[in-house]
Amino acid sequence: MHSKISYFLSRIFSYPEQDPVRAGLTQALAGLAADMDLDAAPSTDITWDLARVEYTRLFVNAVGGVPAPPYASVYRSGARILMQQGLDEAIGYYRQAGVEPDSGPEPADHISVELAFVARLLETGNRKLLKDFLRDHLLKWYPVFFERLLAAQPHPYYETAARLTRLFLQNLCQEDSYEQTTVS
Amino acid sequence: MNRRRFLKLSAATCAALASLELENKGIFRPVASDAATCKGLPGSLGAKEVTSVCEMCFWRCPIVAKIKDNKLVKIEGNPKSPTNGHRVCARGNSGIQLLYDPDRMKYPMKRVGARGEGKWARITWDEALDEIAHNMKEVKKKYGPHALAMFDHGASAEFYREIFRATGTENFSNEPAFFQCLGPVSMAYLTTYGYQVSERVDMANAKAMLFFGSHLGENVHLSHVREYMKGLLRGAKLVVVDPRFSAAAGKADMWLPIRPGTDTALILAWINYVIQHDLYDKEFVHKHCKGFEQLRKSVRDCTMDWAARICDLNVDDMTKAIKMVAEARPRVSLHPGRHAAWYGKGDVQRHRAMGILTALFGSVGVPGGLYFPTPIHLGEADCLGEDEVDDLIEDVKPPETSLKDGYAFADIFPGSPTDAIIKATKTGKPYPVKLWGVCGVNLLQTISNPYQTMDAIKKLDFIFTIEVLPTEPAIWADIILPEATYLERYDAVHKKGNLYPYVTVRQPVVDPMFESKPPYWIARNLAKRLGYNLFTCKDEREFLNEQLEEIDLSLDKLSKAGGIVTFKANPYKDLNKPLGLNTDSGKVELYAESYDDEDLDPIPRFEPVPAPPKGYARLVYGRVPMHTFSRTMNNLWLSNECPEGKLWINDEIATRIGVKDGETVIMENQAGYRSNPVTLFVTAGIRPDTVYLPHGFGSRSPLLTKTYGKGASDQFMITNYRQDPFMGASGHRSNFVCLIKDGKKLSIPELRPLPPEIPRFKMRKAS
Repeated sequence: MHSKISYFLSRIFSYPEQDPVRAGLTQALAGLAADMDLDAAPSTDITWDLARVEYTRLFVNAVGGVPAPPYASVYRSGARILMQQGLDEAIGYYRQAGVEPDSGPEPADHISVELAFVARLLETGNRKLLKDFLRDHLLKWYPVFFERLLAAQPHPYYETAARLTRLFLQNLCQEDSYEQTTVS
Repeated sequence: MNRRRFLKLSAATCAALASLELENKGIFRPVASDAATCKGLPGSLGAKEVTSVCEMCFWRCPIVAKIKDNKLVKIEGNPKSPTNGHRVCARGNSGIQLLYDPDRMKYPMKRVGARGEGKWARITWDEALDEIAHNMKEVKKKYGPHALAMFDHGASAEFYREIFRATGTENFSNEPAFFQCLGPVSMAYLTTYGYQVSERVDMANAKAMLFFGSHLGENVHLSHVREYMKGLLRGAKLVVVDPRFSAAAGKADMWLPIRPGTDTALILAWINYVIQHDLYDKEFVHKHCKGFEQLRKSVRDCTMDWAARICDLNVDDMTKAIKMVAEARPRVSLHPGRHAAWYGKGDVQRHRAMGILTALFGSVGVPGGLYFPTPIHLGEADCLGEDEVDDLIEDVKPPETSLKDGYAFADIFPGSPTDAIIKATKTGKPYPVKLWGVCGVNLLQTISNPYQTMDAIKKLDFIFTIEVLPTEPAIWADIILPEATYLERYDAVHKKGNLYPYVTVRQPVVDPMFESKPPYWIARNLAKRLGYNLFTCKDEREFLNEQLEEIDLSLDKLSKAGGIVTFKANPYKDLNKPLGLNTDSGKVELYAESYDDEDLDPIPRFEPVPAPPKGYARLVYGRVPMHTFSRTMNNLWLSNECPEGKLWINDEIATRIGVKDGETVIMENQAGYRSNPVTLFVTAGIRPDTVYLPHGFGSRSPLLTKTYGKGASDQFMITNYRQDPFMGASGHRSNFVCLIKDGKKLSIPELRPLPPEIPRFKMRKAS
């Protein structure tokens, strides 16, 4: 079920190709938030149009610059541009798992691709790589991305998704160390 | 939350998750075997090399891109290039920062807020192109074809231009950069010499060079600057006429700090002087020029004393300078200049006068003088569909009153004058213009009176822009299409027929990022929706190969040759034979009969332009070597090197009005428009009646995070302008500013007396 959560979050951080309410995304988001004790504002009022406009503002192009560019590269090196160290790191982990992402329109260090990768590692049970990926890569930049996203006062739909993702990734990381300590 | 809770999901949530489509599940595939990396090798070592062509400015140096792991890591000059070799300039190096700029356009966008508000939604290419095609059809149906207008510039414009031409509009192109920049100088040299001389001046072999208001070295056109430096290193004399101590003035033997707007008086006096003192090339004039007698008579009253008073120079310096240049004849590089739209009125004639002086020195078709292009005859790519367009527009009626009316020579150039289109859009006269397409040009940081341009945009039914970066026009657009950067696309065969002729092509060094698309693809898919059978080649490679075939080349052959093929140059002429120029007489036209027919002066005359009103200085502008106008301002590396331009002001003026170097002020122009804060550069290197600001700063696009609001824009101070009567270029140097410091208005005192021949600009009384 954890991989499903991660695939789900990956989908929310992709461009909304469907109405989030009709596609059941808002319902699943609310359920997850409740299950994980996350005090989240209801986000069921999000329309498809609103989601598209909000996603564009937060992640694509916006007045004042995109508040939270969803790419590891922007956070992992001083230059704050695309396709740098953050991408190299991500691809390095993908290759360790013997995979690479389809060449979609987005660079491979997009948050949705990285969350799909987390899901895949959970699916395949590659705990060691998951731990390294989280600790040395994704959780190195996600918190900064998260802060910048929240500072832009996103619609509750994206705020909840961002909070949930943070909690989920932190717990995955902790769970991993917990399991390790119990094993040893 | 404890671990137990983390693991435990409610049944409802599980069900909700289970029913979802997890479309990102399949995005990973086994790694391909050829995913070799060059890890371990530092920098660009071990990188794959792809040849291409730079587009950080329009000089378009051949480059080599270094690619590692499908990423561009470095750009160098193409060592096979006969012009720049392995060199690129600061901007060329920084192309990587354009490609990977997080601010770049990534997807087609549709405006959702008010026009100018800056609120969008990402949409699909189908939605975007459908909407553009729909609006083009609607506007054409409702108002006729001429209600559509295209503003274009750059290597990708050719394709879109063809689409707009197919609609039948007379406004299918107005390449604003042409009408605002090169137009007047092209017009003058076409009349005088029958070809667009542009920068074809052989400075490397000159014994003397003469520049009027040149930014050479401040605008780095790499190979051109190198030729200029080569000439200087070989000992050429240099005379620079400029109200400002420019980079070129810093290398000059003589700097003549002329009163702005009076260059033609100086040139006419020099023409008269060289005729009177037998300092001209009699044989060349006799054999190759038409109208010498008329010229001689026309300028005989233009004495050095007269010009000295007008130009605020001294006769000794003027005489010494012209002798220095004349002694070097015929090896004189009188640079025709580039950005020539200064005052509107008189610009063509100023460049005509320069062309005439060049002819008197016999500096034509000889080493060190003007030279001739070496034509490279590429094939026509039939698939572009030019014949098809001709058929389509056969029956289109010209408008009753054309936007070219009143401009005797506008017909020579494609499209209509930029200013005429903007005014028609704003006023609906002589006919309504209701839709704009904008490609590769920042209209608001290029065209005189941007406030008027914004007013015009508000009157449009529809405006779309094709952009690499979201510059000012994007803020106003209804639809923005993301175009692939020059590093991600094919566009055209790039040929240079100058001193070192070559053919090369631009090609993608990496795949287009996000959903940005190359111009051929965009144009092809838009044309399809409009029902035009254009762009029939299946892709750019076929389109380019069709052109290359004619000279027995192909993309593959070019690639094998290192991306570039060179040809023998034929720049000089045998002056014992007739020049056979493409002018009315076949000779150099000192006297232009075609002008006489249009009631324009067949020989240049000095017409004064108004001097600054009391309390103001004239605003002139120029370049910095790190930037190409507004288009490079958001580049991280270049912005870091030069984040804002400084306002040059004369040191004596500064003392009198109590401002210091490095202080921040605001400019206010004669119409009351105020600038962003700007830093002062106090110097003796500028006349007291003039201030100078590098162009392109002061971005008003809040989508450009690295440059928004940095520095002041000269363009937003340019609200007063006139049209040149030949082809409709708008002048840019008829604006005057005073300074505001700490909220207090500082009047600029007049230190140089104004002769009676020069009127003063009349301020409009506030009503």
